[in-house]
Amino acid sequence: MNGAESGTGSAGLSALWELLAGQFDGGFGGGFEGGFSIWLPTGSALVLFGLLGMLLAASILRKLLAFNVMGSGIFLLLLALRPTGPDGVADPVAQALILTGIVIALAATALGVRLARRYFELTGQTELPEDRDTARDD
Amino acid sequence: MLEALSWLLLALAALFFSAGTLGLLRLPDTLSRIHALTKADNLGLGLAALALLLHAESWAAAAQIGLIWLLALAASAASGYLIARRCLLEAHQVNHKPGAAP
Amino acid sequence: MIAADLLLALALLLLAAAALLARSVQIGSVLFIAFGLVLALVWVRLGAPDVALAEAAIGAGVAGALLLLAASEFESRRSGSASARAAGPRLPWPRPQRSRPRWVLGALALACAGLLLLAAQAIEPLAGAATEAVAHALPQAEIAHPVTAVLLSFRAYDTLLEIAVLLAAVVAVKAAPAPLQRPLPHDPVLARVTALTVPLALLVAVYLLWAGSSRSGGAFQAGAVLAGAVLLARFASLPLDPQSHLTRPPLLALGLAVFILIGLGAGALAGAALGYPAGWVKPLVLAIEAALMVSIAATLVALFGGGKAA
Repeated sequence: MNGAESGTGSAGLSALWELLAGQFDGGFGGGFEGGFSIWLPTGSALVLFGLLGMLLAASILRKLLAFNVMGSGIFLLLLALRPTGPDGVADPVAQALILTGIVIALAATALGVRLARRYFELTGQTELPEDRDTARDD
Repeated sequence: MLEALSWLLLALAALFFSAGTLGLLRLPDTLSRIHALTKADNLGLGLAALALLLHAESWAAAAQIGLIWLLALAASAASGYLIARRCLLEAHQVNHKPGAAP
Repeated sequence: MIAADLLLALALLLLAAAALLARSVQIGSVLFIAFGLVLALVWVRLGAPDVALAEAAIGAGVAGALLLLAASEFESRRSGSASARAAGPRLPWPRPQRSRPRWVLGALALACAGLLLLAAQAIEPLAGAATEAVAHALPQAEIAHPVTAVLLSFRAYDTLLEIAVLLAAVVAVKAAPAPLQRPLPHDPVLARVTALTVPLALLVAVYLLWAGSSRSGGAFQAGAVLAGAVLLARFASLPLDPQSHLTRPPLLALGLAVFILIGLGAGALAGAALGYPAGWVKPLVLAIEAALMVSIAATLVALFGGGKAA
C-alpha cells in the first residue's frame, strides 16, 4: 500500500475487514453455531441472480427459470435463519413452510409455462411485446 | 482398516467421475461423450456404493445401497440410449421424431 | 466441514449462473435440474431430508422437466426459420438498443439482495424455539415425525390451502386447450426399462407415504414419485395409459375433498376445525395423506398437459 492512500479510505477498509472477519469466529456450519452461516450469503446471492434474471432476460421461459432460482434462494434463507435442533435435524416448521413453498412455486411455474406455450401457439413469439426489441433469444 | 479401504474406494470413485467429466468436456461429439459418461460414471458410482456398503449398519441398508446402484445403472443406460438414438435420428435427418418429445 | 459447505455453496451459485446464462433455454433447463439436485444435497447438509426429497422430486424434477419440455417445443417449431440460424451466436440478454437502462435494473437488484442479506444477518435467531415447541406438542399430536405433524396437524390449514392452490393451478392449466401431441414412436428398450421401473416406482411411492408418519416422507414426495411413474409410462407408450385415467376431475379434487371432509368431520368430533379426535389421529392422517398423494400425482401429471395422443 503506498502512503498516498487516504486515511479515511484505509480506515474504512479496515473497519469493513473487522466486521467481516469478526463474523468468521464461529466458523462456517450448517446452522447458527457460531453466528455466521455461509448459507445466508448464498441464499442472498441466489435471490440476486433470480432478480437479475427476471428483470433482464427476454424470453418468458428464462424469466420462469430465474423465478425458480429466486424461490430457491428464499427457501435457503428461510432454513439458514433457523438453527438446527439438538440432533442435527432442522426446524420442522421451517421445513414445512419450505415444502409448501416448493409445491406452490411449482404450481406457479407450471401455470407460467402453460401460458407461455399458449402465447407461443397464438403468436409464435417467445417474448412479451415489451421485451421483443432485441437480439435473437429463445 | 475398513476405513482406509473406504477412503481408497472413494478416491478411486472420484477419479473415475473426473475421468467421465473430462470425457464430457474434451470429446468431440455427443455419442463419444455418452460413451465416456455412462461407462466411467457408472463405475465411479459402483465404487462409491461399495465404499458406503462397507459402512452400512445392516444387511437391509447394504441391500438398499446395492439396489440404488442398480437403479442408477438402469436409468443411466436408458437415458444414454435415448440420447444416442435421438442423436442418430437427427444426424440422418429422419423427420418422424416430433419436437415435443421427452 | 467448512470445505464441503464451501464447495456446495460454490457449486450452487455456479450452476444457477450457468442455468441463467446458458446459450439456450434447453441447456438452461438441464442445468437447472442439476442445480436442483445440488440444492437437495444442501438441504440434507442443513438437516432437512424431507425438503431434500421434495426438492429433488418436485423442484428439480417436475419444474425442470416442464421447462425443458416447453423449451424443446419452442426450439423445434422455430428451427424452420433460417434467420434464427443465421443470426450468429445467440445472446441471452437483450442488447441495449432501447432506452431501458439495464444497469439501473442491475443496481436495483443488487441493492435489494444486499438489503436482504443485511436484514437476514440482523435477525436474532430464536434458538430452537420452534423445534422445542413442536417437540413439546408432538406426543399430543400422536404423529411421530415432526414435519408431518406440523404439515397435517399443527398447521393443517396451510396444507389445505396449498392443495386448493394446486387445484386452482390445474383448473387454469386445463382451461387452455393442450396442443395436440403427436404419438411418440414405440421404443422397445424404453418400454422394457419402464416396465421394470414403474412398478418399483409405485412401491417407492406407497412406501414414502407410509414412512411419512414416522420418518421423512409424506404425501408430497410420494405424489411426486407417483407422477413420475405415470409420466414415464406415458412417454414409453405403455399399453395401460394411466395418464388419462389419472387426470380426471374426481381424482384431481379428491385430496381437497377428503381433507375438508375429514378436517371438518373429525374436527367436529374433536371440537376444533381441522383437529382430530384423540386415538384416531394416525388412521385419519394416513387417509388424508393417501388422498393427497393421489391428488398431487394427478395434479402434477395434469400440469404437464397434453392428454390424449392425437
